[in-house]
Amino acid sequence: MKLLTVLVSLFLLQMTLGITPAFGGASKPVSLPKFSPHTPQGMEGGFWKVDNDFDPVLRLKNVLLNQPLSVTPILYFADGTEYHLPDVTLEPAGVTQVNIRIALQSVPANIQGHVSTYGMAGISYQWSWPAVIASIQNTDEIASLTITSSFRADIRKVHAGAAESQAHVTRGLWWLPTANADGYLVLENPSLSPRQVDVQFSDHNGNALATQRVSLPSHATTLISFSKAFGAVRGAETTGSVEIHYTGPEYGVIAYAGIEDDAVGYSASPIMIEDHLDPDRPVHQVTLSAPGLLLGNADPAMLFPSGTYFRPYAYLHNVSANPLQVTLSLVSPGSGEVPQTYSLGQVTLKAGQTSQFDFESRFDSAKPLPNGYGHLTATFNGHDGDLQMSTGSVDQSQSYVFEVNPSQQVDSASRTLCFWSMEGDNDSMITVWNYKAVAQDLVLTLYYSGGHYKIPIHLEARQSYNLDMMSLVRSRIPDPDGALIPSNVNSGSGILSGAGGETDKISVAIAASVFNVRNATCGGTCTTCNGATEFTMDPDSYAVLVSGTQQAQTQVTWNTGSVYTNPSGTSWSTASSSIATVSSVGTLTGQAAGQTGVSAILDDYPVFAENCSGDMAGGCPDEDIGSGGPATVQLPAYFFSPTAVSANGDCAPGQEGSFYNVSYYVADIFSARVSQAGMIPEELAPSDYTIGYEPFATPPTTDATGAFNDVPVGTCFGNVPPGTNACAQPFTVTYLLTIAPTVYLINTSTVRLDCALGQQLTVQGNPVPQNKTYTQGIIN
Amino acid sequence: MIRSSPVVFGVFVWCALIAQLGVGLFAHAQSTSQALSPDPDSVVASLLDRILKRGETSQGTISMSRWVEPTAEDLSVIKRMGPSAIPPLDRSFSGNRSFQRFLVVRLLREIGGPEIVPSLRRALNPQVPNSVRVAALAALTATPDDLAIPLIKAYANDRDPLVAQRARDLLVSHYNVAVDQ
Repeated sequence: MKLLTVLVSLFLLQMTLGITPAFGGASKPVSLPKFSPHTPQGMEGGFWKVDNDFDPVLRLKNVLLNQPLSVTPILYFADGTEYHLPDVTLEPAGVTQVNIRIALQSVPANIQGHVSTYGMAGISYQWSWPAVIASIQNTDEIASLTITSSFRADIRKVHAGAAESQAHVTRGLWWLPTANADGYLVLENPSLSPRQVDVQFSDHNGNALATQRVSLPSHATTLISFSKAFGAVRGAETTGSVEIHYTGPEYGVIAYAGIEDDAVGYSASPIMIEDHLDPDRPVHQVTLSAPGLLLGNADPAMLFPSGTYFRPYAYLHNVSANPLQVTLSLVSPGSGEVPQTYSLGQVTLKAGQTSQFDFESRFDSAKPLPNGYGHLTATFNGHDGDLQMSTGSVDQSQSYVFEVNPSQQVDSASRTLCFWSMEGDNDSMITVWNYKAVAQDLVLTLYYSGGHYKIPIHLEARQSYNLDMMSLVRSRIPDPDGALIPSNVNSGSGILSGAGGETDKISVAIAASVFNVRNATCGGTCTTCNGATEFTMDPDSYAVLVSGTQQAQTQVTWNTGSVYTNPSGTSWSTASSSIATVSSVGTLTGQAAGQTGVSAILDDYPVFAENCSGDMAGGCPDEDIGSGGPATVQLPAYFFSPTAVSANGDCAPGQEGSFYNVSYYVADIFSARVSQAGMIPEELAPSDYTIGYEPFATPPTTDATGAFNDVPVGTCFGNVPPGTNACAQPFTVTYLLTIAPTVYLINTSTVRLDCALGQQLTVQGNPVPQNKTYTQGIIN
Repeated sequence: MIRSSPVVFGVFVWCALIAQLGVGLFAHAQSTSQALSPDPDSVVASLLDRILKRGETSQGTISMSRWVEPTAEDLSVIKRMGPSAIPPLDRSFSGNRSFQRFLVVRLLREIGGPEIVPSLRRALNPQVPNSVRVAALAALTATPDDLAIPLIKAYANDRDPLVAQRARDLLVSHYNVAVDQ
């Protein structure tokens, strides 16, 4: 699944850092560079409201498994005024909640005049990548209403400059399930500039019902009620769509929606999805899954009022410009080993049409709705994102509404379930459905303060697993490692992964919610897609000698903080194999002097999606990710001498002379330093006794910077008549360099003129600017 | 100005040839002697003489010595002797030929090991020419790190700037040890 949003944002990050990997081919892999742990991070969005008896709670989840984070929550009032709340500390893998209604009781006097009954929120903290998932659940226990929303705007993008601006469209659907129900559209501007937003509400056929143009100051929130927007038309239409246009950075305007009927306690939070999909994405068979819909007679163990009966609902909206034929089915665990599939037939949706699916006609006394729960699927041939679906279950009183956000059936890596709760008389339900026709082994790890609890899950084809948290904790059954969830623990989070760990591919649909039977509220909780956040090469640049080798390695860092070195599937390449080649395990071999690029690519690798997966049109994203760096293949060519300093020779008593300690380093044909230890410089000085080139450096090999020293350079003279100078015949020294087993010819030669009272040393044969002449004392 | 005289240069070449012949004869005699009595002192003495002689010439009455590297064959002799060569090399350190101390340190480095450390300590004495002292620092790289590093560190702030700089260079580039600036 290629998510344009991920690609674009990561490309921008890459451009920001000036990283230009040496990739070839038409499809450029995404770069995931490394950032400091002190990088400012933040997410903004969410929708809080305190009208009537709503009690909004901000929920934060730290996706890092081994690193605590200090997070500053910020509330923004409707006019954009910000109110910083005290910092909260998130334990590794921890969750925390901030009661917004209570926080609003401490608003400083200087901003009291800006306090509103609704607004948006933000969080700020420091880490290398976005590591905190945030959402808000507004609950009115008295009216049995729950409205949920998750933060979407990454401040690194939404607070970026004007260069990030482009046209965006956000789409969603609405419905009015009862005569008294009303809804509202929430528009927020998390960007730093005012935004103009165009909104169009459409009826079930896609015809415009109402349009509005809204100006939103930075961080302001506005709320458009359906009844006001629709005017007299309201009542005639019970479902339709909404489209929001603006220009700005990604998620420069965030839209949420709520539907409420406080007379019966009905509430729902239709998802508004900003389109970041590739316009050229292919047509293929797309299946959306909504697992864990409550069906029929309520499970007595869940303590619903006697006689509670759940019916599924589904609203379908064709976003595309073409008709869509959608095939629906319901899979129920059934009473036997094999899940039972109920074919629900086909519906045809015209372009732009929104329709409520008629479940009633599909079930009757001869074919009754199964009891318990089931998984709804909707399949069509089209593009990713062509169909939006809002679904769930509602009881006969319309008070118990269990929304289930559908997601596309796409393989993913592990998933993070951001929150579960058993606070007060809350309970949580987690449903995992294996939609594949093959068995899967999974592990659900539940994290809570002070520990974790593992649940191995084996799911046969199309089987599902349903977890009621309260029942689990009360069961006092230890996990395979002997862990028990302490009875005082009342909230936490989880990770669902393959049996092999977080990187395993899994093919499941997940739903998680926090519900309360007493006050008839239920809010879906966010699940995210785990994956890579950094992909780096170590080292990030290479310098090898012709025929020499250097080992490279890659590291991929996941959003959880796990680091994998040399992940399997890494493919290596160089831009020019005539200059350097690289093996399948990252061994770079110099072939000829020159400069090229080396790159490592992981194809179709899971990347972290910082938004809740339900807020995205496609499934969990995977991308071709790559890392690269320059590779210089060096051919040692000469010895460059940066300095020569006077030294004391070791002359016999009565002798005198002038001496240098000459420093050199090995340079290549491009005048770049050959930074390698262990190279052996050798010299051939004219002498009747030496046979050939001999090592001469002190010590005899280069250090890690390719440097070496020649000492003592000079001649001792004896019996020099007082008041005179004596000089030896000038002579030339030539050089070689041995890097076993290869011997390199060196262009450098030195000409020495040694005298009793001085000396001159000329380093020659190098590129002209690199030659040197050192003189000290008196030379004749 | 001797350098400009072709006659003196001819004498120089002739002397060099004679010297080479002399060394050859000496080497032959030495090899026979070794077979009969491999006395470390005499082996070391003849080796030092053989090497130093290669750099010794004269121009008229003026004698000249320059440092000429030992050959691989020379070094193999000292390597074969191993630690048994250390005492005679130690005794040779007080000799009075040009570059003799430098050569002793150079040969000690070929032997390597903890046994050469006391000899190198002596070579690091501030009274010794700095060219010999920096060679001694370099020779410490052939000794165990736990012996070498503290000793090299002790010279990182030596009063002789060449010695101090080379000590710091070795600590950083050879041992990856940070040094105070």
